[in-house]
Amino acid sequence: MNKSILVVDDSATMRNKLRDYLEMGPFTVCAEATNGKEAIELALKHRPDLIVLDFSMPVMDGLTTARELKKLMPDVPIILFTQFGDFHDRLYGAKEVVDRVVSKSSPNELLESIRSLLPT
Amino acid sequence: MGDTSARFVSADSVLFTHELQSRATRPPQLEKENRALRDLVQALADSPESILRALTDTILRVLECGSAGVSLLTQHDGGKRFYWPSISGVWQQHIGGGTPREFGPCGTVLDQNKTLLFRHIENFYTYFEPVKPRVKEALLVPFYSEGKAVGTVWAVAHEPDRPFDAEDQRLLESLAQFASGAYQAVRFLENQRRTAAIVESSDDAIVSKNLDGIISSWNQGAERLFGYKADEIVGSSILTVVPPELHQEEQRILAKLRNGERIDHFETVRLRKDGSRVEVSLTISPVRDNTGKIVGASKIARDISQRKKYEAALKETEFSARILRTQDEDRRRIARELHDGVGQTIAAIAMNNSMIEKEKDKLPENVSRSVSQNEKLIQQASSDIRTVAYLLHPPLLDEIGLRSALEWYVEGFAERSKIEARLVCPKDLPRLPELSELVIFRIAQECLTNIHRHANCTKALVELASTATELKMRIQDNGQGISEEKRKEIAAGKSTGVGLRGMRERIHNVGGTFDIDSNEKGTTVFVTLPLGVVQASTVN
Repeated sequence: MNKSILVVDDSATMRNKLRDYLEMGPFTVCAEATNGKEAIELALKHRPDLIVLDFSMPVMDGLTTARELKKLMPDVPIILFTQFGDFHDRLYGAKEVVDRVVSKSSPNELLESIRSLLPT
Repeated sequence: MGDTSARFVSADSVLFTHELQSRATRPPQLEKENRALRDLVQALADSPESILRALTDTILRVLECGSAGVSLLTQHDGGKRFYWPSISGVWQQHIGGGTPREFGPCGTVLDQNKTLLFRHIENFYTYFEPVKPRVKEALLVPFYSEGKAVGTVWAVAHEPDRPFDAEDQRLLESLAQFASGAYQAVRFLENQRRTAAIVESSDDAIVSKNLDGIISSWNQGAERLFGYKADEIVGSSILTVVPPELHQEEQRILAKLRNGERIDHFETVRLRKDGSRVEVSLTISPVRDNTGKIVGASKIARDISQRKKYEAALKETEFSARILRTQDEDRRRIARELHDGVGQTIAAIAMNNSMIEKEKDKLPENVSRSVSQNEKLIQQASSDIRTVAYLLHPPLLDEIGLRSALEWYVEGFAERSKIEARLVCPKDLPRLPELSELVIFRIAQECLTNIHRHANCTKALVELASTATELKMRIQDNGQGISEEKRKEIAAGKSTGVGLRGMRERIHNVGGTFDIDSNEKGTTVFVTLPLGVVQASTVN
């Protein structure tokens, strides 16, 4: 059975694209959340193997969401998939909170990261 | 007599008023008295300032005594003392001195409200002991103004050969009546002089005119404001200083005054002697004669040109602050749209391309090559859009603050400009209000842009430091400095291009300061920003 991934992004285009892309992985997108609050609810409900999280979102930003998620499910890896990826070394605390920071313009790196975080 | 070592216990011990009636008295010297009073009235008319002196001289002459004086209750402390504004005769040098209200011969006279004769006052009022020559006898008469006791007139005999008698009492009481009138006249004159001094020294123009608008007085303030000297304009129509198109307004003002109405803070324009116009605020009150009839008006005109200029400048500043804000908001919006819209689309294309790339073995070779090229093109487009968006509005500024945004910007600047640019910033720089962070970022951005364009330098430094109350930023280069000519323009506050003015306005809008120091070794900009201040112009 494929590993399950929760996708969190406020852009519908991005969520659809991620679903297609990750399923090619092959992974299963168990749910899609549009903001941090929804992400926490869906994560508790679906218990995904990994979470792909956007940084810049309404209601609750990616880093705050990641901190909350890590408290609830410390073993579930989180990848911050963001257009701020270029500056990830400047995202204070990001590396301490999430497992990886990947730039949205490097989707290959996303797949590689997931594979390394979810060994089969 | 003369035994000053004896001490008495009450004022009565030095009072001998009853003796006045029993002493042999001179015949009434009515002619002498009348002449003296006539002279005093003349003196009052001629020289009211010295009327008290004329009075004491007269007492001295008419009573043929050693010293004569006037004692007045002090005004400033509610009458705690008597002071001596005028003394004639041998005690003349004591002018300006005085006695306490509660313990002294004058106070006793006012308390008993009648003429009193004292002998050797130093025996009871011991503070007179050192006063030489001593008092043999002192005759004191109270006098009043508008029903209130204001002082005494007195005559002192220093020698035993001059006992006062009933005629002396009558003469001094008569002169005290005159003193009462003279006192009122002097007070009136003092008030008038004080009022005149206030009017004269006022910065406001104070003018009086009759009901036909003919000017009857014109103070120095009016001379300064309108440029006409008093003697040039008194007697002329007030219309001289009213612009022709506003003559109707003056008619309306005069009509209101005739009705007894007052005009308060009426803002209008008046004409100066040199033909220029001045914005004034007028307060005009009707002036009545002593029967209550309105006979004219007093007018206070205040120059409000400076205030109007200031208001206009303030409006302009507010306007440019609004423009800057709109510009910032537009930039932020465009940046956001580029980032979230186009940026996300490109990210989606990148994923599509990545998916295709995984199947590229199934494609013809030239198509497969194109797919590979796409990856680079997408990276390039993504990077270009991000750079444009971030220059418009640094996203990191909103997300994680000034320090990261500046780090990113200074690094990028160094790369683009080939200038060795450095940022020095404390790791614990606090988050500031959104607008303040943007202002600091924009100033750093603008300064570095100027350095790149004009400074011809190899190094640049952006340094931030914060205290509990203040954020300081210093931006320094090792370039050629700002030209002498340009520096003069800056010092004179002249417009020196949109950039510099924009920076100044931005920092002023958040209550900070902006200074430039420049010489041939380089230029340094100093910016300070108060922290923890509620910033009035903070919007959004």
